[in-house]
Order: sequence, then C-alpha cells, then structure tokens
Amino acid sequence: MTTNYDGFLTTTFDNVVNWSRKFSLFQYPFVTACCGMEYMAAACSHYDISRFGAEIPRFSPRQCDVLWVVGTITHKMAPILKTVYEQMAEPKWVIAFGACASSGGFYQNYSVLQGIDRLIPVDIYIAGCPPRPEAVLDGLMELQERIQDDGPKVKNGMLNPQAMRHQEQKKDQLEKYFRIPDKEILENTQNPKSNRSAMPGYSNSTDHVVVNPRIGYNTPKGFREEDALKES
Amino acid sequence: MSLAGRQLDTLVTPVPKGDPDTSIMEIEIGPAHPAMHGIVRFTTQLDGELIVGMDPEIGYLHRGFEKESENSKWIQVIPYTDRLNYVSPLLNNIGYSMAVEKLYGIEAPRRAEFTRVIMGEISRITDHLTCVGAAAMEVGAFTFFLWFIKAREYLWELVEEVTGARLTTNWTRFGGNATDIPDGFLDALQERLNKVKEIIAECDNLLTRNKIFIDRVKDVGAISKEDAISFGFTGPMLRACGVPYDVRRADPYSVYDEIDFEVPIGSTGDCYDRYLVRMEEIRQSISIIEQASDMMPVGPIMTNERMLNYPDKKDVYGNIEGLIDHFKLVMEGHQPPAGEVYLPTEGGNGEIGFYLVSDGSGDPVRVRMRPACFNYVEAMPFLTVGHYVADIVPIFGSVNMIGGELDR
Amino acid sequence: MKLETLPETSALISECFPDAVLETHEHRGDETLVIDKSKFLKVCEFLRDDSRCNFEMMVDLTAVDRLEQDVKPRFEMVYHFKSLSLSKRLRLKVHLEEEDSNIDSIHHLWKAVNWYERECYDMYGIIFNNHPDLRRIMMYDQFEGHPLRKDYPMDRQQPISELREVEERNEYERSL
Repeated sequence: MTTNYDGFLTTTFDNVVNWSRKFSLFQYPFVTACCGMEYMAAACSHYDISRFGAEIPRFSPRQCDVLWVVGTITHKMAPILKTVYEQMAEPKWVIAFGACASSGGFYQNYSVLQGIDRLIPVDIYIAGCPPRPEAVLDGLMELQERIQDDGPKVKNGMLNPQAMRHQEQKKDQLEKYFRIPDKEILENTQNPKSNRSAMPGYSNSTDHVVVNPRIGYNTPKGFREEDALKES
Repeated sequence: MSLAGRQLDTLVTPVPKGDPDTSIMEIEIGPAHPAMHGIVRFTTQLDGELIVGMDPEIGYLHRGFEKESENSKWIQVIPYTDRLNYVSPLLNNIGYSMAVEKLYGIEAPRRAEFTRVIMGEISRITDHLTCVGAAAMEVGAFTFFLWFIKAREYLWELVEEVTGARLTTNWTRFGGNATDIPDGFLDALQERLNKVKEIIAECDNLLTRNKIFIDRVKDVGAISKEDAISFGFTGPMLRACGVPYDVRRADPYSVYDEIDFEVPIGSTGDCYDRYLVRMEEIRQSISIIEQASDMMPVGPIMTNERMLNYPDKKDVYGNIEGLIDHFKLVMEGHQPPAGEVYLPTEGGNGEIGFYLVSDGSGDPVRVRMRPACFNYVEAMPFLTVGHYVADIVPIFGSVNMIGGELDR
Repeated sequence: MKLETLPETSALISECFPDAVLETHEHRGDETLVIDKSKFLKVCEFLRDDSRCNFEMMVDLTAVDRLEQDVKPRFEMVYHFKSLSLSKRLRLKVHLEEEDSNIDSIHHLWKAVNWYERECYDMYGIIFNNHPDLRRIMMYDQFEGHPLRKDYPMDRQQPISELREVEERNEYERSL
C-alpha cells in the first residue's frame, strides 16, 4: 500500500480509512470441510461474528476483502482457490482457518496440499482442528489490528511506518510522565537519602566483592572452583 | 413437469459436446458455490432454465482416509473417522469401534452401549438440524438456520462435557468408551432437549404448512421406490420414498433392540417428504435418548480384556504383567485376529458400513467406509433432469451431502 | 463342501452354479462366497432376479490389494449385497491377477454400481469391461498411478498448480 506517510492530514486519513476497512470486512468463506461447521457456529447468533463488523458473507470474490480458507485444500481444489484469490480486488487479506489450511493438518498424503501458503500469501493462521469460535474471533481481531497498522508490526526486523510512529508516540508519553528532572538527579547524588540503604539488596558502597553463589551448595564436581583450585 | 421419455441409462449428458445447436447451454455450478454443503461441481446442460443433462464431479475433498488408515495403527484411525461425516462424528466413531469389536468377537459393557446410544442420537439430532437448517436457509428461510444452529450449540456444549471436543470427538475405543458421562449430565441433557423440542415446534409451525416453502419443495426431486433401492439409497432418502428400512431395526446392533422407537416413512420421495422425515427423526431420537437415560445401568465403561484396554496405573507400576501389557499395547498397537468384517450402522445420512480386513499383525490391511451420500450424489442427474435450475438448490439441500463422507 | 452345512444363499448358489463357487466361509456371521471370474456376471444376475435370494440393493463395491501379504492373486474384488424383502446380506469376492486385472461390469443390474466401479478403477486400476464411462472420479485426470495400491507411496504428491517457496518450513517425517 503506497500511501504517503508524511504530514498530519494524510496520517489521519490513513487511520480513518483503515478504521473503516477493518470494521466492515466482507468475507468470502471458501468452505470445504469440517472447519465449516465451526465457521457457521462463529457466524451465527451464539458467537456472533457480526459484532465485529464482518457480518456479510458475499459469495462473489469481486466484492470481498477477506478470503477465509476454511478446511482442507486438496491438489484438485488448488487451481480453483488460486483463481478465486486472483479474482479478488486489492486490498485483500487471507485467513488460513484450521490446521488443514495452515499446514495440511494431519493429512500428509498424495492428495492434500500441505498448507495454502504454498499457493497464496496468507496473513493470519488460525490453529485448531477445528478451532473454537473464540479462536476464530481472536484471529479476526488480530487481522483487524493488522489492517489498522497497515501490515504486521515487525517484518524483517523493521517496524512498518505506522507502527514506528506509534512507538515514538509512546516513548514521548512515557518520558513525559516518568522523566526525572536534572535538578533532582543532582540532589540525589550529592545528598543521598540515608534510608535508601535499608532497601534489600541495595548497597551504597562502590567496591563490590564478586562472590560465587554456588560455593557451599551441591554442585557437580566439574563446576566447583574450589576443587579446581585445589587440584591445580 | 417431467421430461418425456427420461431415459435411465443416459445419466451423463444426452447432448454430445460440440453440438452446433446453441439452444442448449452448458454451465458449471462449480466447486466454490455458496458452500454450506461442500464442494461438488455440477456440469449442467440447460435448455433455457430446464435441465436436460447433468454430470456431477466429486473428489475435491478426497483426503485419503483409506490410505492413511493403512499406514496407521487400528486405534489411530479413530480421529480420521471423526472427520468423515463431520456433522455426526460420534456415529462414525461408534460404527468403526463396533466393527473392530466384531473383528475381535467381543462386546462392550452395558453402560458403554447405553452411553453410546445416547451420544449417537445426540449426533444424529445435530446432523438433521444442520441439514434442515442449511436447506431452509438456501430456499430463503434464513431464520431457521440461526435457530437450528443455536439448538445445535446447546447440544454441542453437552458433547464437549463428555468427550472434550465439540466436533472432533474421538470418543469410542475398542471395547468401550474413553470417558464416562459426568454426574448431572442426564438432567442437563433433558433440559436442553426440551429447549430443542420447543425450537423444532416453532419451526414446524412456521415452515411445514407454509405455502411458499411447500411450493418450493413439493414434487421436486421425487424418486420411486424401485429406483431408490437400485441406486442404493438408505437412510432418510429411502425412508421418504416409503421403504421402512432402518439399520437399527433391520440389523439391530448395540442395544437398539431394547429401545422402542418408530421409523418415520414418507410417500412420494420428494424434498418435502425428506424434510418431514428428518424432522420426525429428530423427535424420535429425543424419545430414544429419554428411554436410554431411564434404562442407564451402572457399571464399567470399558472392557477388562487383556490386550484391549490399558491396565490400571497401579498395575502398570505395580506388577510386571501390567507393565508388559501397557508397553505392548502402546508400542505395537491393537492386534485383532485375522479376518474380515462388514458392520452396517445407521449414520446420520444413511447406512454407513465399515469393511475391515485384518491379517493378525497390528497394521490394518483395508479400512473401508461405505459412504451413504455417494449414492445420492450419483443419483443427482436422475433427480434433477426435467426440473428447473432453481430446483437444484432444494434438491441438493435435501440430499445432505457431506464432503468428508462423499470423498473420504 | 457339504451343501447341508452351508448357509442358505451359499447353498443355493452352489446348487445352481456348481463350478462357480471356489470358497465359502461365515466368519463372524458374515456370509461370504468366492466366485470364479468367468461365472461372475451370471451369478450376479441370478442373485438379483431369482425370488429365493432377491438381492435388490448393491451396498458396497471395493477391492483389496494383498501385495503385502504375499498372496496370489493380488487383487480381491469385494461386493456386498442386501436383500430388503428377505433381510439377508451377502459378501461376494472375486480374485484378480495383477496382469489380468479386469472384470465384467454389473452396472446394468444395479444403478448404484456405476460410480463405485469408477472409484475402484481410480484407486486400484482395475478395468471394468463394458462400463459406459470409465474415468477417474476422486483424483484429477492428470494424476498418474493408482493411489490405493500398496506400491504407491503415500507421500508422493503430484501437484497440478504452481507452488510458491515458503521460508523456514520444518519438514517432519512420518515415522511409525
């Protein structure tokens, strides 16, 4: 997503756009197998996926944002999944629902594709066989966070621009509340409070003796420094 | 209306491909259609909206159940059987375990049999709820889907208390069950079943005499008795045609011969009769559960035979025989004697039979499940040719095709 | 084989087709007959049409590959029948050699047989003579080999779509 990350107006605009995207996800449930039952359970009134905004399953890929791959994908079905994925318009996300979609599940044989990420890029993996509806909703919430942050927070060791901004904002806030002013630090070093040495483990002295904590305990012979010193 | 001279032999498309007659249009109702039932491709040939030919293509969920079972031990096949007919997994578990017990030539204890009956009937109720709910939703009555899924949640919470999982239960073992029903389970079950009865009564009021629904499903997808038997129909599809064949009555297994229940049958074999048969079967299952709860005996839930059950922990750590038995059972697996059996049981969809071949070593030679809905999808051309495209939806909904059972 | 000790259907078949029945047993109560391949079609017609057996329903049709047991002939076709009116079940078996693995199709007797025979062909490679439409049903057409044979390795995949590279995948080996 190539949007300009500089400037106040564009970042707010990004935030608003992402907020609206994440709370109005149109799903394409590509349901094949037993996980479909838990998908139905998550979508119906008891566990209610529509309170997250993701109510409507639109059965046309052209109108959908999120491709839920629910259930086992076999090699016979793989070209169809690829066609459906390619028919979806950007921005689109993919959720691998269940163990079979994530990695082939416990079917490791001639006919099962070992995970749909061998075919299409996947954003969220929901583990379980089948996953409980609560896990489904957790996965959906994780996807919504990703949509808000324009991608996963950390990728290849680098933060994405939105997340970097977020982190800098947080650092500023923390410093503002917890920063100790220079005057106070000067005062504490010149006039140390005497009751500070009453804190356990705290010592005012500057020369600390390094003590091997293991001496006196039952340690294997190879680790006893004393014995090593004795032998030498 | 019906197509005159509908030939039974030409199940595959009657119009040859490449025909310049452009009034016949071939479309594919492809595998990724609003998938409440599963993935099947129907290659239909249409004259306007009238179906003149159809060719179903299956196998999109073929997960290699039989090959996987041949490379597992006997007990490791039980999780695979959960995923066969995944709306009624306990019935698959029970069918498979009873088939292996038939190979051994033993029977499970009485309490285990009664709990199996109760859990199996709960599974059957959830199967019919899902089927009727999804079929009603596709015809346009969306509310019933939500109500039936809510009813199913009541039952699944109870199933979770006993087996540990809502859907993939993995509950029966050879010679009994893994866990016992907890205290207070039967009372909670009775409460939930009363709620389910209320929901079904509400749906009955709204749907059974509803003119819109009847217009959609009456006289649609009808099949005669002889054709149904020749196609190998069993279960609710056959009973809707008027044949009172129920495996629980014809070849009684477990403790079904001690329980009194009726077998509902229809008359014409169309979608409306199948809907009525399924609704009545839910009520009959509730009655079976009530009778079995009253007759529930006290006793062990697992047989004590030597190489079938793990010994008690005090024996495993106490004496050498227990240790050896436990070790051999874990490392080598169960070793039923050589032979072959076929055990028919009544699954949610019809007769599911397990055909097992053993050669005395711990590895299965052949594990085969006779799929109930294979026959129904095979007969889909026969059910739909002569109807309109819009009729495929109620017909396929009443067929209750489950992908895990069809393709295994 | 004495006719008096055999169960009813086996006795009937042995009487009417004396040289067709090779073996018979009743392990765990399942009546089983092993039929010679050449007489198989006639026996099936008899089973369906004769009023003393009246098997209206063909329940299951499958095959067993006995390569690991080192038993010749390699394939064993297994048919299960059910008679609703007389409440009987029967299992019929036919042995097939590996080189000569074809058998007459019985699709004209019971309508259910069509797809079951296609599945058997797909999984085992057994050819059914006079079958109207013998093509693969479970696997895709580009698949080579017959998966349920014992010499087809379970893990051999033949993907038909292009797969992408996935980083950092741990390949776990199946071990039993």
